Amino acid sequence: MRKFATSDEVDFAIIGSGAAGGVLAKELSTAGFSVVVFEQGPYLREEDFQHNEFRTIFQHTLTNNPKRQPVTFRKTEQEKAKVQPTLLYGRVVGGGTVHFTTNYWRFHEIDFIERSKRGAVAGAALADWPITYADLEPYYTKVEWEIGVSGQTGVSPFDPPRSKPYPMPPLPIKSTGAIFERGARKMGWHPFPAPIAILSQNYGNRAGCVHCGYCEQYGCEMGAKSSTLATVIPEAERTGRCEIRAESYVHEIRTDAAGRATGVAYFDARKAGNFQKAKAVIVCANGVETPRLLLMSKSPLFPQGLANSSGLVGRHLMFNTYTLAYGQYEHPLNEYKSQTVTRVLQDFYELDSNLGFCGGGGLDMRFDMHPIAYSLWGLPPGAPRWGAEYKSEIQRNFTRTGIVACHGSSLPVATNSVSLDPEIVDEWGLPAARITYKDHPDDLKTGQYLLARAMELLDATPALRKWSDPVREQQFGVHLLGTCRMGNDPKTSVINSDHRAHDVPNLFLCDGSSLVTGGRGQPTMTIQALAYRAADRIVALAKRGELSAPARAS
Amino acid sequence: MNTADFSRRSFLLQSLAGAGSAWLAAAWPELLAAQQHAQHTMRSVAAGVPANLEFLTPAQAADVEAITSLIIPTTDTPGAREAGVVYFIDHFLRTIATEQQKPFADGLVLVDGKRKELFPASADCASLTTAQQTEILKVIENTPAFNLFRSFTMIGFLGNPEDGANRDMVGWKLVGFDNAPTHTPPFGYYDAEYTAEHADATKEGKK
Repeated sequence: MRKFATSDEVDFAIIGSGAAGGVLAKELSTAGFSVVVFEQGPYLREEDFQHNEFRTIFQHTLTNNPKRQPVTFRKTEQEKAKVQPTLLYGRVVGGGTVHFTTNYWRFHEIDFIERSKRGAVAGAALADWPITYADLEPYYTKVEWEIGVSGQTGVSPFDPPRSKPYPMPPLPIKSTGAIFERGARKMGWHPFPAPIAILSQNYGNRAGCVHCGYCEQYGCEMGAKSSTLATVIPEAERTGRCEIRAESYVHEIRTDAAGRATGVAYFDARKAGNFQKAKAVIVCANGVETPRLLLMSKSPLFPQGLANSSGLVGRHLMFNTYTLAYGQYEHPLNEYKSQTVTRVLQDFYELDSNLGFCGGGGLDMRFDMHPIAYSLWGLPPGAPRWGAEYKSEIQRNFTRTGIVACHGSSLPVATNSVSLDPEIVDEWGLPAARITYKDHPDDLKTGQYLLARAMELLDATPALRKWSDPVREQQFGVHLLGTCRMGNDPKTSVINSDHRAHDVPNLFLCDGSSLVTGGRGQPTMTIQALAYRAADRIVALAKRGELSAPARAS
Repeated sequence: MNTADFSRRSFLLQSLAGAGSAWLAAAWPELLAAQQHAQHTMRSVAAGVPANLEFLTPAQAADVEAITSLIIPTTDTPGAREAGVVYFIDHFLRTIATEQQKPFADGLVLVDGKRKELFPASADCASLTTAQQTEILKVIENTPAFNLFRSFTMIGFLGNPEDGANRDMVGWKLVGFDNAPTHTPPFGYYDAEYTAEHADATKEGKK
């Protein structure tokens, strides 16, 4: 792999090697630019991924470690935040795409124009995107064909328009999919094969899925899961113009007297400080780490944090809404085999405003627990917790349980945010991320509505027993969205529709922080489509010689 | 996806006894050693050689074996005893779960205290009947200490054999988890039924 000296002024420093960073690295290096990608986590490869529940999940081998990088949480700005585990994100080369669930359905047209269609919502900062679904559609298609997504068109009546079919058929149905499909059809709903970022068959030089079952939360040793690690990152490296610099924790983006980014300061694997010069910087560090980095990059020109004249860096954090309903069945489902989701329905994507709240979502069915997790958390309330009866319960029901997962919208609320904790620091001495989050009442109503549908669906299946987790205000997020959102007005957004910071002409942001609305529960597909589009926009700006020019009024 | 719920709980596991941090985030080679140790110790015990404890005293180990054998008893199928859970926990505490050493030891003191209250004439937990031991556990079953015992038991019973847990895969065999490196469809009852129905429908459609 090509290595650059820190004194080489590379064309682009990209921070984060996940869904967006990987795509941008490949697109820009392919277009002829020199690129260094900074990843705070290690460079693990397929042979490092293990079929080991304890090591992978309980020891955080692929994700952030709350001991080394604590996070603080509070519900409102009036409270003092306390240290508690609040986030899960990918912290390896490939980012969250190494461990994610791979649900890859597209946003719908409504997601981009919800403000115009629904009007204002009290207590929320609902806004339209500066782009439409139609603008993004070619890039959704590009993701499906380049990254590798399996699925089937023509089944869901709620599918948004598309220009091409999927490149390969859906993965084989699992018992939860079969149960879900029958139950949903009895209710008059429209289940369809889940679009999944896993190869259902060999594709290019990558092998198809072997149904090993160590999928959600694990790395794929086959490269069949369409992580950026398995797809665009090796392609970027092969151009000879891209360096992946792992275990490199960027803590500041520096600027010059003209207010342009000059490069990135980072800690290397030995915690030594370094500075990489770059002509432009693209931040793809996820919806918490991107605003955190900007807030840590204060200077006399940017006293509120870099690119933060709007005061909105870190604001409008959205987690999406999740609720779960469980069913136990007579015969074994054996859900521990193969990948996670095979059927989804989107009948409730856009709920009628007559219901009295703004929101919507979808349902899928799965069972993503391995034996240890199941034995500790997968039994119904009131079940025995130890002894012979407990042993019988886990003996019978580990293979007989399914979970209907409801995923839905979160409204953008300005007081839900990422900020810097004034006291707590991480192992590197940097301020901890402080999360302030209280679900908008409409989000709780959306969760309750979807959960009620899930329980109806379970009733329409031969479940012997069903139960649900109560709908509660969230204190933990895995989808980190909205915190540096796109828009045409620099007063109400952080970046424009080219992903360019309104305040800094050679600074771009592209990841979950870019989203204006949070979608209905699965954002990574949209983040990646945005990344492909951002790459086109950035290349066009570069070719016109406008990358370092002062930002123009839109 | 329910990874959020799931991950939140795995973080809670780590703070069960109030340590509040990822004591589990130690190097996995130590875990591997813990489990190899458990395997070796189990073989020694089977051969009549005294067990090789690294952290627990013999008295503590006897109590831990009693407690874990109540959580997952030996019935018509193997339980925690056959899975070697006590030896897993012993090495685990000494190597990876060092921050849980004190809460764990305090939990054993709690158990022993209840034993003395309920059965003042007894010498130790191991000498009590199963019914008597069960009484003690019932008294403490809602305490953080018990949660810790239960979590360690399930990690030792259902973890990977190469990590020293789940000896001879007795835990996985109990719950029906087939750890083959790959699988082929159909996977379970309901998708097999679905696939057969759809194959039949296709055939009918061709008639």
